[in-house]
Amino acid sequence: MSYASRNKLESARTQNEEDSVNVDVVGCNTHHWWRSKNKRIKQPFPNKNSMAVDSVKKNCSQLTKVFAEDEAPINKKLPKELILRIFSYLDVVSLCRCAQVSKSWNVLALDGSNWQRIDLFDFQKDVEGPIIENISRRCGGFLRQLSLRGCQSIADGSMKTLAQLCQNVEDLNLNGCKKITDTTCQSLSKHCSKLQKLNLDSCSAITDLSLKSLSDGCPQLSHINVSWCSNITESGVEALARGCPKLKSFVSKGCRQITSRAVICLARFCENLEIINLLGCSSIRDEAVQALAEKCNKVHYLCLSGCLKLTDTSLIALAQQCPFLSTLEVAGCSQFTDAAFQALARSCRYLEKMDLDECILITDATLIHLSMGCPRIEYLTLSHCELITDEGIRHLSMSPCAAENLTVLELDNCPLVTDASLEHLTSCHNLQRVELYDCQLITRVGIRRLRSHLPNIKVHAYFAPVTPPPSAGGSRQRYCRCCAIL
Amino acid sequence: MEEDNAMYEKILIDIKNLIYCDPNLKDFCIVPINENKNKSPVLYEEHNLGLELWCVKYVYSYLYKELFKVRQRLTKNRLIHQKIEEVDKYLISALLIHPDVSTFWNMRRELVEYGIINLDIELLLTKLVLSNKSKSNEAFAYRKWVVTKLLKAIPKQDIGSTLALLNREFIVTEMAAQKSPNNYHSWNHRMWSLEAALTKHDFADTISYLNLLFEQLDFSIRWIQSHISEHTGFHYRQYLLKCVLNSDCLGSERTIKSRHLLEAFIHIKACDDETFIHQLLGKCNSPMHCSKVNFIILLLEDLFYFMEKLNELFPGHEAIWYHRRFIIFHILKIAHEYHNIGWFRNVNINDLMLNSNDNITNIDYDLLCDGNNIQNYQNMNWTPSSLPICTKYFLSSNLNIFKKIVPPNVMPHKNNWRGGTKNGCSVFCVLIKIIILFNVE
Repeated sequence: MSYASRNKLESARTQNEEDSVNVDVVGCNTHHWWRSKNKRIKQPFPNKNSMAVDSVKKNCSQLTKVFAEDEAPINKKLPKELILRIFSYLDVVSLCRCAQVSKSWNVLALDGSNWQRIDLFDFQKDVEGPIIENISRRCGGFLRQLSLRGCQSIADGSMKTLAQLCQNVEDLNLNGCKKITDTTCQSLSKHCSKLQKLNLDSCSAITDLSLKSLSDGCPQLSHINVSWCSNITESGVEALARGCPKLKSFVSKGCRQITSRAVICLARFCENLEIINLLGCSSIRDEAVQALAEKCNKVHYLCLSGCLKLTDTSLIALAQQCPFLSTLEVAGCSQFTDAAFQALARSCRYLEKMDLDECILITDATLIHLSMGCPRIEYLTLSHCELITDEGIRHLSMSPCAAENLTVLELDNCPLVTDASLEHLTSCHNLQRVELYDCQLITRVGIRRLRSHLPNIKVHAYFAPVTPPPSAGGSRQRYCRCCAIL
Repeated sequence: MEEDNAMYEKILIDIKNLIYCDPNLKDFCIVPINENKNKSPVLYEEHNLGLELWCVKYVYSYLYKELFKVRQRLTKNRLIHQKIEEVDKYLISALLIHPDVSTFWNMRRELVEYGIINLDIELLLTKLVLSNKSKSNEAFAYRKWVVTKLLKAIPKQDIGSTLALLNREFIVTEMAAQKSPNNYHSWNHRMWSLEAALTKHDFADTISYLNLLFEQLDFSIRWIQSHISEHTGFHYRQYLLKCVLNSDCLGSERTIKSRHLLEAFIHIKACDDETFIHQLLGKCNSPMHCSKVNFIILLLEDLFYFMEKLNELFPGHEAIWYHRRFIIFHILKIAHEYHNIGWFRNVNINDLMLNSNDNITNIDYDLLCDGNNIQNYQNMNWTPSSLPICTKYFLSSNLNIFKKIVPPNVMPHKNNWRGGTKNGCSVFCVLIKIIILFNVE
């Protein structure tokens, strides 16, 4: 990196005039952040192209001024490489502040090598097209990672410039950039063949065309997130699966049009899949999960919440083929029964997080199996599992996982759970949070007792606070003093 | 503290989710349940939303604090999007609990302006707010703002969607009017939406506008029948009648039907509007404008059928008499204009007090009881020296109708006339006198 920076540095020197023309390239279109109050006005420096003989003199004086700034002690003591190195540890705001110190620092601070990883989430309201264009011009091939999460004003035009100028970008986060359409993905696929991670969460205009062009031009893609892009269908996913065999993570929350066939294609072509999130893809059936389990044995994160058509067959297939499963979210899959979880608990010993929200058929038996088979469980959600009783909680609390790992237990809307469960839970030393909303047999006394054993625990229940709430708008004394005396 | 906040958040999320998921929500109210079990205070039953009382003060003070924390940033549009969703959630509950805080409505306006929330949700929210506090002026003002925005989005020729929108307003205002008596806010909103639709499409001269008015007139009859002593309903009806007067549309089947009924009632035979007016008010050179004909027909219909019936069923309600005054005032006014006679305005009200001047009473009484006494009337020596308002010309042509419009049961006895045993009657009689003399408007 330092070698590259030195080259860059030298080239930066030769381009000194050009750079000083657009002082604070990033800042010039933003009027809010990192910009000093006295606005920098573009000085009428002659730029490289129009530099005529008669302006040489003026130019020279400018150069000497720049060198005079270099005479500052810090610049004398530290070689530019080191300053550059120091700058590389700074965040965006500090870098832009440094860029306002002097011309030489401006060059150094805005050097592309410092701008390899940019996250503009905090400036989402200010980021507009020209800023992205400036950044991409400035960073060029240096840019590896760019997060534009929540920058809603970004549109296709500036993303096209970015793709053309920053061809080495590997990780691009466009979460919530709602104006972005397929054109962006097409230019990405045309220019950025090194793209590995792409997040298109909530870019609702994205369609299958995007996935097809990505599959053509970005074979390195390993992580993709197309959550809430409701236009995505199975043909897009199929093309993606064929073109990007290195896919490790596929997240498609709320893409209702994704079918079993799409998932089967993913499983067939992308055997390295580790993270799969199909939340709300409600048309998925057992055969899809079976195919996943068969081909992608490395899966450790799987979310099937809201896939209502799945039955025990799916879970049994997972239990047989995916021993490394650590997170399993199956909220709302109400057809799963104790038998499936028994199989799962026997073979997936690394399970850490389980979300069984609204698996209404499961009983204490599931808890007994989990407590015997999965010693690593940290996070267990049993919301709306109405058949769970104190007995199940007792088994859970006696298991090895309870004593060591269990940190969060959600039991809201389990109507049979009573204070006795809380009594059992006192043995879970690591427990930090327990949810008890709507468990109507739970009383204040029970919660108080649990708190006395585990003082740091957060108990969430519908109980009015004991202390009155601080009054909203500064309490004023009702009576004046003389009235009080009277 | 943190745990409590988590509880409030959960309550707020529940409320928001219910509102976003059920577009058919009907009602919101705060349920007076003070005992606190470990049970969600958000109640949802048959499209009705409830919040238990015990949590209200805690939730509201939490909301208030949170909202004022972010207010500054919101007005400057410097709030990140994730936070904005939260603000939406807070505002929904804050407004449901306490709709009279304009600041919160304004924050919602900002959210709408930034395109973060959907106007349909706003309609639903204001409806819920109004179902709880039906006289909330802020809520109506906000709804007006939303409706104006929606109207703007409708293309000029698309009257159908405007009517659909209007219908929604009608349903909401009726609901609000049902909830609390004499809810002028609600009726004003109803009139405002009618007018907004009218200015938007400028369809005052079309038959569809007239039909809309007739529909509303029918509605107002139904309303008045069940809310007899509320003047709001009558007021709305009077507004509608005036709308008919301002509309330039020719008579529809509906007015023709009414006219036929009236003809049977007043014993007039007329084949068209013109002869009907001639029979009613006498001949005149200038023909009467069709909107006025419609107006008169509707007024007479009100007078003969509707008021009669109401008076029989619910005697002694002042609102009915006020409406009668309105009708007679307008009939007389139109008759004056028709014959090109000016209203007389400069009469001292003191001269007209019943007890102070027997002459007027007697004159009127005689006049009203005995229509043939016209000669008598003309030769009368009017006490307030300048009282030529009921000019000869007018009286001679109008006496028939005048006799009709004063119901016989009003003045069976001279004693009743002055004695004030029937409150409504005497009030009405004074009023008649005043309207004859004054332009009450």
